[in-house]
Amino acid sequence: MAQPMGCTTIFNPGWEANPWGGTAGMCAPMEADLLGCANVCWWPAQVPDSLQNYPEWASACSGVNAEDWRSLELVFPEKK
Amino acid sequence: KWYILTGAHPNSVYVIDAETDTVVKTIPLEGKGPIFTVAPNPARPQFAYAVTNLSQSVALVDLDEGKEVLRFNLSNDNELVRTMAIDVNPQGNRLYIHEMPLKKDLGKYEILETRIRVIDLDTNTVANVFPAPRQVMALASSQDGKKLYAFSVGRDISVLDPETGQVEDVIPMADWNVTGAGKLEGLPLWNPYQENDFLASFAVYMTDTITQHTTVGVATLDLKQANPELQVVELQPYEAEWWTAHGAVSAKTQKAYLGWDKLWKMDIPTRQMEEVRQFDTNSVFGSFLHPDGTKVYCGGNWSALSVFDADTLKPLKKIDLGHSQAGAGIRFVNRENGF
Amino acid sequence: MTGPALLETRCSGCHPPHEEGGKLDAIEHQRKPPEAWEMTIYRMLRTHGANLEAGEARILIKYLSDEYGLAPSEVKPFRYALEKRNNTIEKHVPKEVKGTCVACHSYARIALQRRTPESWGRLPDLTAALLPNIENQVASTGLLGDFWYTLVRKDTVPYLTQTYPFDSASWKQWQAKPKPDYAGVWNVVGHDPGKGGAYTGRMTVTASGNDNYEGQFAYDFADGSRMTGKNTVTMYTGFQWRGVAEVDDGKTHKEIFFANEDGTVVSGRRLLTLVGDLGMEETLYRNTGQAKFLAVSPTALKVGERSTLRLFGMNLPESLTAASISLGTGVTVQSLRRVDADTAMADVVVGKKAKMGARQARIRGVDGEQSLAVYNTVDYIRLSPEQAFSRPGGIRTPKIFQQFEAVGYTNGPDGRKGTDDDMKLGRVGPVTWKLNEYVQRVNDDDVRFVGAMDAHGLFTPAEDGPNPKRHLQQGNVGDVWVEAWYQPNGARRPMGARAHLLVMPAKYNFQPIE
Repeated sequence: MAQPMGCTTIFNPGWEANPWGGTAGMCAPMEADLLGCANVCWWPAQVPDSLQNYPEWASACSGVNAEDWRSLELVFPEKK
Repeated sequence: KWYILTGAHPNSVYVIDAETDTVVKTIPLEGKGPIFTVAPNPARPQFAYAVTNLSQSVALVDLDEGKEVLRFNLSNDNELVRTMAIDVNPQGNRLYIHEMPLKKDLGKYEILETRIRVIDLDTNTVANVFPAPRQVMALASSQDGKKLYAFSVGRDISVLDPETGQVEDVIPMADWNVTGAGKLEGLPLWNPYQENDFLASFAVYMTDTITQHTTVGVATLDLKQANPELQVVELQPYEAEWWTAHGAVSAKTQKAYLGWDKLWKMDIPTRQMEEVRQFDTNSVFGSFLHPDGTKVYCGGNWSALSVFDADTLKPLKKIDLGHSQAGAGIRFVNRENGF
Repeated sequence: MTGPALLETRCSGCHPPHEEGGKLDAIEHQRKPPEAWEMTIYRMLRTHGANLEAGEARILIKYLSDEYGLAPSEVKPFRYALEKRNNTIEKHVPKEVKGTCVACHSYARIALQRRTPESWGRLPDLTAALLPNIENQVASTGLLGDFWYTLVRKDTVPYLTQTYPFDSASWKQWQAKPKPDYAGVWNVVGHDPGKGGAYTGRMTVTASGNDNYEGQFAYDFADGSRMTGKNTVTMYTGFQWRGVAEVDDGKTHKEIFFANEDGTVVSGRRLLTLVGDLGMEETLYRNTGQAKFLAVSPTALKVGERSTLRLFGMNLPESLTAASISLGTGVTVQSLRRVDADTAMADVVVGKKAKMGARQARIRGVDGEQSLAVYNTVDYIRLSPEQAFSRPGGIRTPKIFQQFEAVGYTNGPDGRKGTDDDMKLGRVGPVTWKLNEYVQRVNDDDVRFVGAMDAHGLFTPAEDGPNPKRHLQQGNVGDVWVEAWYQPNGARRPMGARAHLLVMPAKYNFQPIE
C-alpha cells in the first residue's frame, strides 16, 4: 500500500497507516499513545520527542487522557 | 504479598497493592522524567530502580521512605549516555544498565560501543563495565544469576557472563536456523519474567520464505534452565484484526495473553482461542500477568491500568494513576509486611 | 550584522575553522536549500544552546543558502518536498537509505543536501544523539537485514558520500554565473485544482535591495473570480523564490517558486496554508516586450459545438483579427476580441469533419503554440490525485485538507479506455462528489466519521481528538473512497471515478522539509 513521503509503516503499526495501508489495528485513540511515543521518540517525524529535542512538549498536560491532549505543544513553522 | 511497580508522567514511581488493586504510594522523582523502565529488587523489595532524566539516569528509590535516595548518572562531561534497558538480578546484588554512549566533541558527536554497566548493590558502586550488543531494550538474568540475557531488537539474544561480560552464546532470532521459516521479529520489553517463574515471554512475528505468509505468535525463554532454547508458538495470522506488540505467557497455566485493541487468551498446547475481551476506552501497549496467574493487568499507555480475571477475562477493576503511564512498563515485587 | 560576522560571533565557538582562517567546521562543509538551513539553525537554538537576536536567523539562512546552497539542477528532482507536496509517494527510494533513514522522514530531506565525505560520515552519529532510540525503532520496522549502525556505516554513508558530494560542477557553474534581476513585469499562467481552475494575470515586481523584492499581482480565474494581492519575496541562491503574499480576501499565501537558469521563467507552488496541503500551480513568464502566446483555456473543444477560447500571452499585436488565429483544420474562429495586450477572446465553432485529437493553436506573428484537443465525447473521467491523504484537525492540530479534481478523457482513435492514445481533455463539470466506505475491516465505519466533500471537490476532515462515539474512542481516522459523478449532456447515465483517501492520525511535528 502506498505511503506518502515521510510516513512510516513499521511492524508495530505505523503512525500514518498500518502495514496494510489502513488505520485498523492502530492505537485507538491515538492520544492514548502520544506520550508513550514521545518518551521513547518512536515517531520523531510525527510526535515531538521528550528525550532530546522537545523535553517540555507535554509539560503543560498532566495525563494526556480524553481532555489533556489539547494542551500539548505544537511544533509548527510559524516564523520565528 | 505482591505489589506492582510502574511509572507515569511526568516523573513518578507508583506502588500498587496487587491484591486490592489500589495505588498505595506515588513517589515523584527529582527533575525531568520520563520513566521508561522500573526494576524491582527481589531480594531487597524496599528498593526499586527507575530510568529517568531523559533516560540518562537510573534513580534508586527507597519505597518505604517514599523517595529517591541515590542516582546513577550515566552522561558526563564528554559522553552523552542513554539507556533503554535495566534489570536487577534475582539475588538482588547486581543492577545491570545497558548504555548507548556517544562521545561529545566540539560541534559533533561520535557513536561509541554500547556497553553494560554493572552496579554492585551492596555498595552501590560500579563493579564492572563491559561491551554489550546494540539495539537492546530488555535485559534478563537466569534464576541462578549466572547468566545475563540481552535481547537485541530485530536481531538475536546474547547470553553473557554477568561478571566478565563474556558472550557465551547467541540464541538466534534474526538468523533463525529453520530453513523456510524467515526472520523472527520480536519487540521484547517490559518483561516481568522473575515474577512469572522465570519465564521470559514476548510477542513475535514471522514471515516464511516459502509462501511469504506472516504469523503472530509468542516466544518464551525459560530462565530457570542452564541453557534454555527459545520456544516459539505461532498463534494467529498476522492481520490488523489480531495486531499486537506485546504478549505474556503464564508459566503455570500455559495460557498466552496478547492484547492491543482487545485482550485475547489462547491455550498454547492446543493453540485454541479461549477468550476475547474488547477494551472499552483505549488500546493498550501490554498485558502483564499477576505472578500467581489469576489476573491480567493491561496498560502502559493511558492513565489507567485495566485488571481482568485471567481465566474468564472478566473486567475486574480500573486502577487510575491520574497521569499517563506514557510507555512505562510494569513489574511486580513481593513483600511480606507490605508497604 | 552580516552572515560572515554572525558565523564568526555566534557559531565559530562550537564550529572552529579547520585550520587558521579556514572553513568553519561542519557549517562550511555542507550545502543545503533555505528550508534545510532553517531546520539546522532552529535546532541549534532549541537543542545546542546557540542564541541569536530577532532577525539574525533570517540573515544566516540567506547567507548560508547563497554561499552554501544547491544548484538549480540539484534542487530540481526534489522540489516537491520544498513545495510541500507532502502527499507525494516517493517511488525510487534507494535501498541503501530505505530501511535506515526513509522509514521516518522523506528521501528528499537527505537528497537536498551535499556534504563532504567527513560530513556525511557524521550524520549517523548526529542522528543517534538526537534520537536516542533510533536503532531500536528502525530495527522494529522489519526492514533491516543487520544492526542499524552496521548498515549505516557499510551501505548508507558510502552511498550518500558518492551520490551527493560537496563539490559539484553544477554548483561551481551556478556560483560563477551572474544572477538575474527579478524586477519587472511577469505574465502569469496558473492552475487552481480547487474552485478557481485555470488562471492568468500579471505580477509586477520591484527590487528593494539585496535580493528582496516587492510585488503586486492580479489573477483572473476560469470560474470568473478575480484575486489581487501584494507579496514580499526573497531570492535565495539566485533562483529560489520564497514569497509571502497578502491577498485581498485576507488570506496569506506562501510562494515556493524556482527560476530557470537564465531567470526568464519562474515556476512552483503557491501555498494556501502554512503546511501546504492546499496550493496552486503557478508559472511566471518574464515580460520582455516581445509578443508571446502562453496559454489557451479551455484546452478541449467538442465537435459540432460553439465555445469561447481565452488566449493569453504577452504583447499581443494591436492588429490581431480572427484571421490571425489558427486552430487547425475544421475549427473556425468566427470572431475575436482583443481585451488587452495579454488577452484575446475568440468565439470558435468546431465543424463536424474536424479531425479528432490534439492539435496546436497558433497566433500569426506571435511566438509560441499551445496544444488543443478536439473530441467527440467525454468517454471517462479520472480523479487527481488518485491516492490522497488527509488528517483530522481544527482543535489542537491544523486540519490537513485534500483537494480533488475531476478530469475528462476520450478513448482516442482505438476506442479503448486506458490505452496510450487516450486524450486528456481537462476539468469537467458540474460534478457531484461523495464519499464511500473503503471496506477493509469487519463493520468498517470510517465513512461516517472522517469528514465530508464539498461541491468543488474539497475534502474537509473532521475534528481531531478521541471520538467517544467510535470503538475505543478512536479518532476520526480511516480510509474511504472519494467519488465524483459527471453526466455529459446527452449521455444516458452518469460516469464516475474514484480516488483512495487515507485520513491519517493528526501529527504534532511540522518541519520545513518533512
